[in-house]
Amino acid sequence: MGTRHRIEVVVNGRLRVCETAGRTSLADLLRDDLNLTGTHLGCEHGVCGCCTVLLDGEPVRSCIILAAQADGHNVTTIEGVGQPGGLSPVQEAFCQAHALQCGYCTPGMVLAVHALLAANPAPTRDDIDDALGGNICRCTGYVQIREAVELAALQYCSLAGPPDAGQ
Amino acid sequence: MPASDARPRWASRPTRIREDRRFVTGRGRYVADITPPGTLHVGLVTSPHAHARIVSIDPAEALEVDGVACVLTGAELAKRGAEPARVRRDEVRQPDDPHMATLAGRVRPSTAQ
Repeated sequence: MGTRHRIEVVVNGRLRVCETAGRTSLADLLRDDLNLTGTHLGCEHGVCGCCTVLLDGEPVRSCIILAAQADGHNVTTIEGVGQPGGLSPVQEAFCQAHALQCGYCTPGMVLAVHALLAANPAPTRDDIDDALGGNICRCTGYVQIREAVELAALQYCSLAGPPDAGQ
Repeated sequence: MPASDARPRWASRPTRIREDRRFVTGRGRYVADITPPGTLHVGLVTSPHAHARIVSIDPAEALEVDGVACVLTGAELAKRGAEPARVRRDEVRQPDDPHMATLAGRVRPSTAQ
């Protein structure tokens, strides 16, 4: 079944050692081997953004990244966002603004917003639209999602500062 | 009826949606997230020819692949009473026409720690 690689990835702060085929995508590794099913697969060719995770704090599409490419890197999935029992301000804002319905795109959206606010704590509407341009929502529409981002940014302003994405 | 200027108790007030919490934390449970024990996945083997009669199918090589539990041809599906809608039985009429279905369990044993 082709070559296999032993890879070491820090997922949500925990070192995971996995043996994986060279062709395995990061999304399949997270979902099938690590049982982190909050990372969703929509299009499986890098268009819909459902599978967005943070690789060393940067948003990437885990369906078109090989698991082997994550070797030696930090990965943050939706399961690593927020504190145990508590929501991050971004997650909280999505609930408050009704920025989701079926919730399938939401994990990717939330992670993309964490990366945005870590880099740009006071984004304009254009910044928000640009940052979420690669995440498709098929039921809620984007107005309330944009409102959620603005709400989260305000929330971070009144707290200590933006989130420390992916670290 | 309350007076028309009275504020309604329930309507027109912001509220939380109960199920949102599990969705924003990645704990929604979609069909693809569930794999009951013993689940087999179907793979369709497709024709390398543009148009050809199916004379015989030798599944030996497919059965040797790690994890493959069963190989079904169109003829076998018909014999079992299933209508082989997608799996061709007597001839293939375009490249990528499926002529064999493989049923496999988990091919890669999980070695993640």
